[in-house]
Amino acid sequence: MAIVFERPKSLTNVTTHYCPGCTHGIIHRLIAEVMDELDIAGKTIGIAPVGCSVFAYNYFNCDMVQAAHGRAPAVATGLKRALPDQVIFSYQGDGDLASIGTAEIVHAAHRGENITVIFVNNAIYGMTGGQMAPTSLLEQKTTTSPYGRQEAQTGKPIRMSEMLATLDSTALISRVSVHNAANVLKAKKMIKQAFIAQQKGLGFSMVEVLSTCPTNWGLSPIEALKWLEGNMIPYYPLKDFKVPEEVK
Amino acid sequence: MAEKILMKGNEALAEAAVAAGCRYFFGYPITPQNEVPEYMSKRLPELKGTFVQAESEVAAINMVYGAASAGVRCMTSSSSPGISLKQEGISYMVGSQLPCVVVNMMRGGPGLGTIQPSQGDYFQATKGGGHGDYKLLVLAPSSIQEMVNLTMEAFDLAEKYRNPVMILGDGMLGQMMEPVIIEPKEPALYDKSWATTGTEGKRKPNVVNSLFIQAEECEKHNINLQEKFLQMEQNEVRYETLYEDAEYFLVGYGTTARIMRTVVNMARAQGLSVGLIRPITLFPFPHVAFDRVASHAKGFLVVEMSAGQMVEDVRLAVNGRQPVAFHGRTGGMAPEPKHILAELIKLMGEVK
Amino acid sequence: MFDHRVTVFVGPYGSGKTELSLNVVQFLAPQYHQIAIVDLDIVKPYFRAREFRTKLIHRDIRVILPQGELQHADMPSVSAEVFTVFHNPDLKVIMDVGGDDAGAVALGQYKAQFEKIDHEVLFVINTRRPFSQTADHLIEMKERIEWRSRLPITALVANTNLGAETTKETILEGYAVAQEVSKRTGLPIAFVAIDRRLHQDVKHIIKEPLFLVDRQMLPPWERNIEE
Repeated sequence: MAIVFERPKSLTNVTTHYCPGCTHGIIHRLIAEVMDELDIAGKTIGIAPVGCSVFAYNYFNCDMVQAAHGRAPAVATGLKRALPDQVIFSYQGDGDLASIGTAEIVHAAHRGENITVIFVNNAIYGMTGGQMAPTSLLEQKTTTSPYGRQEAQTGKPIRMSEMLATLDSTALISRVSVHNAANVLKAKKMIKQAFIAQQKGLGFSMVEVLSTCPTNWGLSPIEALKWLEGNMIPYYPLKDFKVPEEVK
Repeated sequence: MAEKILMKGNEALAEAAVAAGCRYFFGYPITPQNEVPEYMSKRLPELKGTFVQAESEVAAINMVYGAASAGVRCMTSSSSPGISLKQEGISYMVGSQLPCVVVNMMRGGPGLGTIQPSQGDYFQATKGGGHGDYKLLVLAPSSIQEMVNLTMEAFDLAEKYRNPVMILGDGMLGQMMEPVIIEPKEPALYDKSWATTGTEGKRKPNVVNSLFIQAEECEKHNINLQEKFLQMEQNEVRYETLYEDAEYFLVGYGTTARIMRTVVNMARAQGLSVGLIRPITLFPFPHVAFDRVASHAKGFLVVEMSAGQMVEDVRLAVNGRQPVAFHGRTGGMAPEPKHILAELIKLMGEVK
Repeated sequence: MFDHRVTVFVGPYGSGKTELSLNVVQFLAPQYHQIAIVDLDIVKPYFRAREFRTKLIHRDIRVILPQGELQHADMPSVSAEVFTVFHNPDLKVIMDVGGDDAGAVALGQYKAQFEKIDHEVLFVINTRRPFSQTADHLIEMKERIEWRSRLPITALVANTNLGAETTKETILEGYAVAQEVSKRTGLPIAFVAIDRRLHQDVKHIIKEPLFLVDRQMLPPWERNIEE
């Protein structure tokens, strides 16, 4: 009997802690598939953030470093400078990258560090229990915006990809989503291009992946995917802000 | 560079790091330690090493965290306010058992304080500094040559214990010039099988991590760490005593100890029985130096460029056996020999 | 020596410009009715000429440095009073500039003024300093300083020393490198600076004028002991 579907070698054989319907699992799988296809697991060092994906070091079958909250791009910088021939990626959520770690992400991008950042944006703090993130949408109810996010008090949601794309030193910036099969395939293609960009020494690459949080959004997995599509994509348009010709 | 050259403390420290095999430096400008990053920015490219001026001290220590994860010798330096910013990263490095060298050329605080020298960060350096139960090995040189020697040794000690080592200097030591000899040496070889350098398909993945979510696991981890700190206390205590048979002892480290040498000579010229105890490791603190003189000592005068920090450790070491007096200057002022001598004579009068 | 109205000391970082400036201004003070030292050091935070202000003022030496508490700050500020140097033709001036091209840049703003006055720019050499040990290093630094300061260097000062550990050999070895720099650049050696205690050892060997230095830039444990 032919095998048509199996666990990528770059994922460990454990059950993840992610809630049913959470799309972190899909994104992990896409990265692992790319690592398999490029045959780079043996030379890859991944960086786990603080956030729901803090345990990512248990799931990727490669060397992993756990970083302090928001500091993954600085840790990636140190690793890449010491190991320029290895592949370094950070996996960061929106609290990590778009709030506490803004200085680190902006300056890793500004220096054009030859690293790959997978930015998982689910518009909420998952790990700590559903607090408002800088990426939470206006009127979105969270445990720290119980009346819905109000512009007068908290401004409008931050768009990291648009911001980082303005930096001349960035090589690849793209926003993708994993709310349906077609987009999952597109997301994988872009993640692969980001890793190739690093292998070709083109500089800083970041793929922002819109993701769901059924538990903290209070929605079923299907409803969560629909909410992402109906609410997040209009504010966070899926777009290749910058993709170098060399990786297309 | 085996001949004697005239170097500023900061430059000598940087070259010593290079001589010890450090090729990765991450820092952020702050007075009075700017010569360290400036020197490294000139020197490391000559050696195909890496200098990165980070966007902040927070980023710099995390770059060190990344480079240390790769198993390379790396360093960051700063001065008091910048060291406060590095504390998060230092705590993570201890928790993840990563070696590195952190330099603090102390200046007066609190807050922005002054750019003049101080010893006000003793507590921060020796009692942990960041969150959690931990210690750094803290080395306190008192001359530029000693700073060179201790910096080179610091890299070995960091790898031996897989723990950050701090060089605790002050602005005066960083800025003054003295002739030094710096002889490069081959780094001692320590096990680096824990480093995250890529499995190359030949081993199971390594994980650098300080998260132990189960309390039992985290306690086990803490017990292991404490065991290392205990070993440091057993193996790494360093101090210098002048005139061990003296009745009274001045106690100080770093720049202050240099000033106190002058006072010891002044006092002995007046026929006073005065010696000096100079801790070189501040953690582990040299309790033994005080035990050795306990049977004949009559009193101790601790002098610091602070409102009184190391004096607490001296009191613990003396443990009530003799009186311990204190003289301190703060805010960037250095204690003057004549004032120290006056305090010493006052102590002698009180004891008799 | 010092026969121009304004003497400017430039050179690599830590080559001894401040120590020389302090010594020279005190040496010249008795001969001049009006004399000033200008602290233009925007680079180093400690051991600056400004720390000797009181002592110098006692000797009728005008001290031109940043005003008030700014003199203790680590920001690269220069005093507006510096313009006196250019506008008072009776004022003898010793100017202490910060090290390397990074320090010399502070001179660039006075280019037009320097062109109108009688001055010399002396490049101080201590070959026992890092990045200063060979003629190649020194000539490269000389060119960088000239470019950033926008002032041509007019002569060299051989100032090789190891602080308190200086010996006759140290001085002669540095003197030889200074001679090589002199030959390759065509710049004369204005004088050789030596620790006063070594005067007898080298006075018959060196043909250039000697300037005797008493070390003043001392750490706290070597200062004020007798007071």
